[in-house]
Amino acid sequence: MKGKIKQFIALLVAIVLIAGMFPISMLFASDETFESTFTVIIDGSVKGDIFVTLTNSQNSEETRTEPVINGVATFENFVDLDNSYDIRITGMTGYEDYYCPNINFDGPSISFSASDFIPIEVIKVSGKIYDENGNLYRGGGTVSYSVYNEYNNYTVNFGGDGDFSIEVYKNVPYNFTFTTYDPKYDSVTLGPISSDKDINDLEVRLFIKTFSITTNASGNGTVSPSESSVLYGSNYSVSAKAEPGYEIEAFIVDGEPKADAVGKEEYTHTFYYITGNHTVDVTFSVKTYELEFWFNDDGKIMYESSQNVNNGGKIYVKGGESPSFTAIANPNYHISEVVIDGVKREDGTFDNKQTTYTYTFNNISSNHHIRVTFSINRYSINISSVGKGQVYAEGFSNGEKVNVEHGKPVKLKLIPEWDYDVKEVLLDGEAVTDYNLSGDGISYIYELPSVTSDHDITATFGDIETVEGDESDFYTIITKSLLDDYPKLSDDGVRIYSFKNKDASLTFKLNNGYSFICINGMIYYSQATITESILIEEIKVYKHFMVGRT
Amino acid sequence: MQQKIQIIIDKEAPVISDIPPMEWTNQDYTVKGTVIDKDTKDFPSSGLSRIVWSKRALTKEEVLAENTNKLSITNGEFSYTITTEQNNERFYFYAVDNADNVSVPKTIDVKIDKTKPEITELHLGKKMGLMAHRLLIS
Repeated sequence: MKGKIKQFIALLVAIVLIAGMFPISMLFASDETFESTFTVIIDGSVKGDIFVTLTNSQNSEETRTEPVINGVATFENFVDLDNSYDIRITGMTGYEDYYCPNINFDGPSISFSASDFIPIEVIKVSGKIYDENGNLYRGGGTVSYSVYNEYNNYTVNFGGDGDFSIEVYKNVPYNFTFTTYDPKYDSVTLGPISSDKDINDLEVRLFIKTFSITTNASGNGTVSPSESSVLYGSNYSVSAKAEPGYEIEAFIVDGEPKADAVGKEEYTHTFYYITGNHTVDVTFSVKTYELEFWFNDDGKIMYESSQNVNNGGKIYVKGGESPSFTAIANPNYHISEVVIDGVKREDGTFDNKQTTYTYTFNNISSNHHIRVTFSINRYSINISSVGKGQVYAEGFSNGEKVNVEHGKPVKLKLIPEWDYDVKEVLLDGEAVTDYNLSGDGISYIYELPSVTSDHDITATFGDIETVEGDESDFYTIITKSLLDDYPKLSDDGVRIYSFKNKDASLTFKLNNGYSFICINGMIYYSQATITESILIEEIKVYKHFMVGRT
Repeated sequence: MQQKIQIIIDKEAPVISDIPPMEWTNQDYTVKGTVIDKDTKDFPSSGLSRIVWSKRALTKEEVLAENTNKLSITNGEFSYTITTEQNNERFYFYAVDNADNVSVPKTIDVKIDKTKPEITELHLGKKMGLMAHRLLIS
């Protein structure tokens, strides 16, 4: 009862709304009452592209068609239970179309079971399957078939005898798809086929699958042409060849680039046992050449004046370009050698002044290997001597010129001959005085602590200065085991020292300020001790810049 | 003109020439010898000092220390007269130079017998046809 009231209220609202849309004269023109929802229920075993059409038996213009979805066709606000309807059901697979006129519905739905429909008769479709050579195919497979609208798919197997046999509904159009177990064959589709009687001689011809090899070339080069019918399981090669001066920039197979093809003039890729379509995209570009640089740490190399190159680094340049590089030595270093492609360059001085070196490869057409050697600056020390004496640089072989690394010291040893001394040392023509007597008391050391340029050093040796004096001015004689009454003068003026033979000695001990004593040409430092008989005819003592004679 | 200095450190011993042997004598006997001390420019001699004699062999130190039995050397010669009886007794002579180098000794066996023989007892006797004399000589 409550539901009726609600329906009534809803109806009133609808009337009011509709009344607003139509002229008042149209209100109350009909007294029909439509079911808000009326459903036609079809047995779930009945498949197909099913539609239900209801037509008012009293008014054929009042008709509506609805699809059967999940076994139900729904009609909203169409069915008036006070009317009778003609019902038509079409599209049922395996059943004749259903038609029944003047049905009075006694509720908001009506149901149909499969037995309410008349099954369609079946026919047999059979035949043989042949391979690409016309022989019976015995590899087995499946036959899929469906009505033309692709509803109700079925699949049956066919065996190794090359025959197939299928039951289908009479006069229903079917598509038959034959698929072999052997993957090399394409599926074969026949249809739509419909018949009102058996088909016994259907022949199916199998064809081996073919695939396409699609090639695309971009730039200056050629690639094998596309091929649209490459047989399943076969091999196929695609070759690319660049025009002169060009190379393969990219060789992409099914989207995957082949790294080993890059930079080559020709490249071939082979597809083995092809089972699908393939695509090869090749891009050609101007040939790229490689500049490889090797150098030590004491400088840098700039490519095109702006790009630092690492040791061992490579620069890639397009053919025909004219790239250049500049080697720059670190401070106090220079470029001592440049070797390009194994050939030592001679277009520079490659001495201390060679702090930079620039080279341009004109119209490049090959790879190049560049090796640059940076070396610390070296300086020449030209050594010369005047007079009786020698000058040499410690640590160097004797010679008039030594070669010294930047910042390294050079120590010159000035060795006057006996009875000679260093009179003057000139450094680049200027007299210097900071040369000192060495520990041996004979030679002098002159040191340049840090050489940063070339130098000329000249040492002049001259006679040593001589002074005369009494022997006591220069040395003291100390004797051991001297006989009594000695020394004494011989008749010819020789001063004789005679000794016992045990622990006998005579020592000339130099006074302060004297370093050497020369006895009969034999030189002693500080003192001379005589332990053998000797006739001394000459004694000289020496000190810096001076010799004393007794 | 620089004065020359001669330093003499003589390390070479003098050499005594061989002393001739003598026969028995009943007289004094003078032993004479010659001494050579090498003296060259390179090896100057310190000069001969003395002769030391002894009736036994001496060490170098004993020679140098000997202060009694000394003989002078004159012009490289020395002599020593023995006046006492010497019953073939050996005399050693050493030459010493001023640097205390001692020569190898030279020797001589001295045989001086100044004593007359003397008969001290005489016995006469006969024995089986043979006469034996016993002569005692002292």
